[in-house]
Amino acid sequence: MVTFDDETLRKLEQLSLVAERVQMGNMKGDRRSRKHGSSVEFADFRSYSQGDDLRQLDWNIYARLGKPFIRLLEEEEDLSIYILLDSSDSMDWPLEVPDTNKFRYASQLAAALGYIALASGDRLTVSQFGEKKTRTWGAYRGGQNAMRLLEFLEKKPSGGVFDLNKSLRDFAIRGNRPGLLFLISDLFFPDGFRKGLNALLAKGHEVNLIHLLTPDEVNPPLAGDVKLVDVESGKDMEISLDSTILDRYSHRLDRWKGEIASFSRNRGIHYVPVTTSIPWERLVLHSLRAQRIVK
Amino acid sequence: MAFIAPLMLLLGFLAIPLILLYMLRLRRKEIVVSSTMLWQKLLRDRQANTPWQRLRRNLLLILQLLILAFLVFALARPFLPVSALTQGNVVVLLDGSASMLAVDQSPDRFSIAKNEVERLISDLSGQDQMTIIQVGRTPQVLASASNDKPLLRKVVQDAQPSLEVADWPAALALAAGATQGFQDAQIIVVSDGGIQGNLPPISAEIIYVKVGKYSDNLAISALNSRPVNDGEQVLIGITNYGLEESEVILNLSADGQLRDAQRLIIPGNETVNLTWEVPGQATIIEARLSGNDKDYLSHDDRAWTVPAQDENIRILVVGDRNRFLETAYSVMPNVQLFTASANEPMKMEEMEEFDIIVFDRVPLPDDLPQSNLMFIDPSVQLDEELSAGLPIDTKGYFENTDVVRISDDPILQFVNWNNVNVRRANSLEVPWARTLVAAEGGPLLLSGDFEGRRVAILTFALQDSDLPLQIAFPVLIANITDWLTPGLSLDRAESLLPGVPITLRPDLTSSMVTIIKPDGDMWTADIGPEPTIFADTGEIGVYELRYQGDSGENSAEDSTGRFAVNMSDSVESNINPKESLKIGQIEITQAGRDDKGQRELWPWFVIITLFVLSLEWWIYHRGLRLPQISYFRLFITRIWNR
Repeated sequence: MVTFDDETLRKLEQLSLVAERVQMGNMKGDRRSRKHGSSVEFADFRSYSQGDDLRQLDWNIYARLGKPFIRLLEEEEDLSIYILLDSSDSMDWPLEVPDTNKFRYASQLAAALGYIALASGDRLTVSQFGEKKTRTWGAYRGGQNAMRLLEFLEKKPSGGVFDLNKSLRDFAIRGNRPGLLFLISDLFFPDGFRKGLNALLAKGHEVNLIHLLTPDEVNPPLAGDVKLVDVESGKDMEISLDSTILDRYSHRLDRWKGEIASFSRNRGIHYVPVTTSIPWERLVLHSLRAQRIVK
Repeated sequence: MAFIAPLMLLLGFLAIPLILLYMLRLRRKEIVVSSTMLWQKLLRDRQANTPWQRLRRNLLLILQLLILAFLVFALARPFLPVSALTQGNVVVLLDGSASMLAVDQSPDRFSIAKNEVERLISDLSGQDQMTIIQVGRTPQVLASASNDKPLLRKVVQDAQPSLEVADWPAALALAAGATQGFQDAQIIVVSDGGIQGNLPPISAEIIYVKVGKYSDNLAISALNSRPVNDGEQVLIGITNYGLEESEVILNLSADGQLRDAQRLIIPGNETVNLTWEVPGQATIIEARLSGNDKDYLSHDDRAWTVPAQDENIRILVVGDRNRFLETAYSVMPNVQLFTASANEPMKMEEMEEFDIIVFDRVPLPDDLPQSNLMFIDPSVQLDEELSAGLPIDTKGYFENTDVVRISDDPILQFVNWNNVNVRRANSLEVPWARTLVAAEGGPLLLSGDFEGRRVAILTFALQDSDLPLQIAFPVLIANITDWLTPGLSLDRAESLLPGVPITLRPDLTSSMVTIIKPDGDMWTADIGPEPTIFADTGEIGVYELRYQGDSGENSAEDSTGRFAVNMSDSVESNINPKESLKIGQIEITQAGRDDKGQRELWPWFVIITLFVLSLEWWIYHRGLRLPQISYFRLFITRIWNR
């Protein structure tokens, strides 16, 4: 499902994700620290995690304790990258048009962002929020994990209906290291998403909100007297559609996006509204770069 | 408002299936969307904004229910009660007689009457039909059993009054006949009530609509002239039909020249007669009234008379003295009677001085004079070749004289032959004559033209029948005399009433007749064997006659005649509008208008339905909604804040 051609890969390899405020990790990475005055010397140990450079393994401690530890150095740092995917039923839309399917698009986006993160040596965690459980991949580092990331993303999520606020709060409480966080969602949650985002911010994450909408959600190809059925809740509502009411829908959608943008601006969240008709390559290689989310 | 067909209102229950259909139609197409969240937000906004929301959604249904309601109303045929004279099928008798020309109401009575009839047409409702008959000398059906209001209005507008004397019994009989086809039809008489005598009873209901206000009218009720020693003596009667004394100027003129004028004072309801002598010869004498403002009918203010232009008719009776004949001729005006015995033959020159020669039971002479002839039981010798060149044969006498056939001929006009008995008659064969009265054994009366002269033949002796004792005898003799004297040209030398036809009797040399009407129009007719009748005497004035022979020029000086048409009829001149009509034994007073009529409203409902239907169609196609109230609320809020 998610595959990259060589050209795209080469381009992605040249990119890295930008974190402006988030604290760097306590492990050496490819990322130069912005902290000043520190010398090139040992800083700390931490447990080995899959994908760590074996050259950093402190073999002496391994010999003494029988457990692998990594020596952390001061001058270079790593960054925790979290990609949170909304896999609710509304994301699996439109069913008939796979090109603009939001979940597929989100997965491709996650793969691209994940590849960038892995390629730049950042510590990557990918979570899919669903009704039953949250699938999590990671944390892993290093480009060699790219294939496994793709395998993870290829699996069908459980889907269903859930409360984004609760899922985000749970994620924040789980005590992950603050990092650069991408939330990819259509934000169609009746109870909203603000509390969840606030919880993430409180934890210290730097949040990028990628808001996916399909073309038929932006301009509904509907007319006449219809009964609209919500694919998630199964709730229906009757409405008579005409040009006036479609105009009003368009206005309402713009207003909604404006509200989210304003909310995000106030909290330092990067808000990226995306229509899935835009090719994801263009989004990553141009739009996100233009917004200095990647560089 | 009430309904003619209230049961139709039950069709209103059709609203139920309509609503059901609407609900079925509103079973919406189900469309699955990723989320209805935004739509719900939208609806919450709108419902907060517009209380019209629910109504707006069903605007089409409301319009359709309106259409149904209006249609059902139209079918139930609502009406408003309006004041009307009558309802249902009607036969209108529109008085078109001379009195309706009175101008006591502006512009004249006939126009007012036409307005009344037009109101009746307007009141005509639904499928009711109307027959309009204009009453004149002969009643004329203008429109027969029609529901077509424009047509009815047109015939009424086109109706023209006449100067004729109305024949009300005939008009009522025609109206009664016209009501036969209708159920409960009524006869409406629009008239000033100028009706002579009582009318015969008829079964239909009659309503009287009176026109006319005043009775003031002065008329020349009589105008006659007779020759005196050295001129003409004219007798004039002037009647004041009003109630008050009136003053009037009488102008008299002869041949277009004013000869005399008199100021007269005539008491109300009285007639003044006076005589006036015109010296010398005059062909036309005219009397005219003027100088009275309250004379509302002008057509009877002028009258003409044509003094007798012919000398007496000279009649010679050849045969034994016949008291019956002599008596009959002696009572006729303008007849000079001579008698001669058959034993003293007269010279042909002497005989030809007479206009008519009657051979009464004598053998016919060898040579017949050129005058017109009458034979009474002619003694024709048997076996003689041709007596006097006249091809007449006799087969002796016959006694089976029961009448089998009576022809329709001017000679037999007003002659009642039914009671005439004849003992015996001469069986004649006259190939050139027409049999007027035929009995079983042979003809009793014949007439014909022979070599330029007219001949009438009575085949029995007067003594052999009871004809001379009958009232028919003087009439028959007068008719025969008229027929035998074509030089007089007319049947009636006295003045005519307008519209009365006149029978012309040209002499045998004329082939064409021309009549110059008072307004100068010419009327021409060929003269055939049938009697020539001139009926276009609707105008008052003097009519001039001219006969022409085959060659085209005037055949003779005395074949040019004149006759006068005067509107001197006491019934028509008496323009006093009557308050009631008496038909049979019933006194019919003027009818009032009450709320009998119905003005149906269904066309309005149909128009509204069409309008709503177009609106519904337009809304359906345009997807139009009711105006957004938010703009209105915005406006109100601004004003409030200010």
